[in-house]
Amino acid sequence: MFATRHAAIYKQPLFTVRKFDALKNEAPPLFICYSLINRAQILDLTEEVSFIRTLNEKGHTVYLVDWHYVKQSGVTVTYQDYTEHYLKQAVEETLHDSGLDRISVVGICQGGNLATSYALKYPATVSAIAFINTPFDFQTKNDALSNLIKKMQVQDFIDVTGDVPGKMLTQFFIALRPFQFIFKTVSNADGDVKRAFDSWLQQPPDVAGTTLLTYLKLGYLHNDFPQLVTKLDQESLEHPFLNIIAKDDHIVPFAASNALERLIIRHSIESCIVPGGHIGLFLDQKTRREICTRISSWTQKKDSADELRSQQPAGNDC
Amino acid sequence: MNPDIEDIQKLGEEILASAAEWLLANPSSPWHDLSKALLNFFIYLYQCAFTALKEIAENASAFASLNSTEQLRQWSERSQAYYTALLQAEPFQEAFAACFNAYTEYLRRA
Repeated sequence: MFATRHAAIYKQPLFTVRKFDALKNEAPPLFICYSLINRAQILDLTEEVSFIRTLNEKGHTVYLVDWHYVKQSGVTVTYQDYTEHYLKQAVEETLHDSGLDRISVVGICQGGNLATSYALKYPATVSAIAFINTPFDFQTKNDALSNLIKKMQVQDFIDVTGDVPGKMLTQFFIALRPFQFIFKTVSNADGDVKRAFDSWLQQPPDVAGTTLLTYLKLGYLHNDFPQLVTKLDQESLEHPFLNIIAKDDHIVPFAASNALERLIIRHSIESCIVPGGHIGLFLDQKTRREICTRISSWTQKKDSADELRSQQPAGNDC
Repeated sequence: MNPDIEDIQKLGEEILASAAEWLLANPSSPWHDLSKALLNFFIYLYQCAFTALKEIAENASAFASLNSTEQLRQWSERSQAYYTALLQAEPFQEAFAACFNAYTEYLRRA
């Protein structure tokens, strides 16, 4: 369930495009591409804790591609299906509804990688991309997740399981910080937010095995995203790249995300470093507002293909 | 370094028994809801099966003596710091992966 009132402008078995109207019409619409791991409801848990509503308050109408449970779709899907077919459909519907030719995309975690692959295929539909907690260099030194995955026989596992159970993925991420999870489970006060969060955590979608395997190969096993980002940098984008990084992200380490700084040469890039962890930055009110303010100002800035990297501002705390 | 399955099985059983005993003895504790998370974690410990994890297990056994949220916070921070460092250790990563791969094999045979 999403907390904020919205309209489903397009629906098919694998995803819905949801439209959350701006509360004032002062800023350009945004298209959010969420990860295939866990559900996008974390962006709109309650009226008080809603990343999407905060963007609405700043004048952005938000279009969200909400991925469905794979098993409910009844089809086998590949990574390319997502990036070249489903995202294409979702963006087309968004452009049609908004009357725009191109739209600014906000990619969250793996959603940023999906958006990168999509934008390379259909650059004319994307005016710019902001990333939140997205990994680019999957083989940085202290990346615990990367170091584990490289040693695990993931192809064998996916051959056996087919679609990968969402609950297993959740347990895997918890296994990276079990003690912190225990403390938060106990110490967080009961209430609407905790109940909504627990519900979100306990209902992760299964992920299509073929899709996940391709993603693991592109990322953790072959580390292809730096090259893909370099290609994307050659496309004509209207705004600088914006890279929002949580300082204490244990799933996407700072170095993995901050690698974007050295990969973007042609365009300018703004980095915004915020306190918190992979999910915590959406839950903390101050951080959430900082991020949304930064995204809002980013949509007002124009970039030029001729702009030199040396003219851009350095990465900084929000 | 290969995990010693018998040692790990024993360790897992001890931890599970300890946790169950404490939870049964403290039914009204606000920490009782934690049982599921703890169980998942102890199963994880059991699966990971690595000698160094005994240090964490000893830390975990101190859980029963905690009597305030602040103590729990300190305990979880200490344990997490140790565990995070452990995650960077190559032998631990290999043990983790070995368990995962064994689980895959178990699924295949099942």
